[in-house]
Amino acid sequence: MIEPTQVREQLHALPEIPLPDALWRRVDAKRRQKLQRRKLGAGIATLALAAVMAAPLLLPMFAGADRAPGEQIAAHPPMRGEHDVQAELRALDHALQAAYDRGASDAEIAPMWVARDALLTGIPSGNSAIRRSRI
Amino acid sequence: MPFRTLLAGTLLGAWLFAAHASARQTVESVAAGALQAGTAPAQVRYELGAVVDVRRASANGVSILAITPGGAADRLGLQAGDQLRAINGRRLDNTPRPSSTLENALQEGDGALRVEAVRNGKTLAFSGRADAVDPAPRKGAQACGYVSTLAGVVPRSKGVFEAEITQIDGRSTPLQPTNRHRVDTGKHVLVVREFIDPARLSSAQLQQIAKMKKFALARAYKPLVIDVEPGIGYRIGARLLKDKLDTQSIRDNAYWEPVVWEKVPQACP
Repeated sequence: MIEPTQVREQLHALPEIPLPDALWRRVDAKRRQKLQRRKLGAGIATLALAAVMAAPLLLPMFAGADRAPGEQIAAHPPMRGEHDVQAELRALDHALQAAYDRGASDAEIAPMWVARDALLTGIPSGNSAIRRSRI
Repeated sequence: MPFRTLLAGTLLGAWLFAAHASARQTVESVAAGALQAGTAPAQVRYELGAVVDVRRASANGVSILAITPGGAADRLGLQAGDQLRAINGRRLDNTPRPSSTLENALQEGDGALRVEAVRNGKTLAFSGRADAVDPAPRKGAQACGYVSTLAGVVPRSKGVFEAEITQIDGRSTPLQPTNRHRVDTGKHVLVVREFIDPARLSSAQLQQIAKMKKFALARAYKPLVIDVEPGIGYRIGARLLKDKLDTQSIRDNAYWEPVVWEKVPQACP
């Protein structure tokens, strides 16, 4: 029976096998590739984390983009010519008069005066008839 | 069939028809033109083309608050701040009901206008023609549209919330919730009250809004002028302006705006 020590000695006695010259270069290249992949992964993860954290700050920008032309939600028509303004002014004056006719309170009537004043502010200053009618 | 049974059946049928018509009226309020004209045959109305405070009359008459550009009062040369003392011979000074007196005076003139006004203590006389207004021409079933705050699901994800229309063209809407309001085609002035979800606001913002509303009352409502197209329903809401939730903006009632969040085809019966 062969003793383990003998086996160890026999193995030690075996000649050293010469390694291929390119082996260490290949091992080194593989290690570098692995390191690069790790760095790339870490970079992507950092960017993703930054994007998640910045999302609440960027939301208002996207909300603004939602209100692009063609969107249903609209407080005012996008473009108003002078004819539209005049028609709007007539509608407001009719509404105001109707409110005074029914004896509405000043508080009830006030929002319509605000709208009328805002409309007049948007009219070019050359329109003397309109400027004269301001109160 | 006995005559009494026939009569009872007829009366029951008439009552059911009337009840149905009444119920329908409560669900669908008829605004604007219908409120003005009712079912009377169309006839020309005459207008002054000015906003006049007809709630009370002083010794000098009633105050002109604004002149509609290009209207009859503008053509006559009346100005905001003038006091209307008489129109077509009807006195407006110290009148108990200046609103009806002014209306009657305008219609009785048959288009002619003779105005006596007081400006800076001086009595002035003006004459000319009143504005003739044709009642909204009916174009069959497509001469009206609807405005509503209850129809559809408000797009909260877009920052739009529930609202209530309190006035249409200066007239109060019914106190009970109404599915939709019928309006003639053309420009209409809506006054809107917001019901923004309190969960979207901080407790400090809610406190500031409550304080502002307490002092402003109906002044906290906002107007929205819409141009109603025939056969279209307009869904109205209140948009929360998230970038205007600072103390000053809330104090100025600038944190929201009334919006049309959807337009849908709705045929008028």
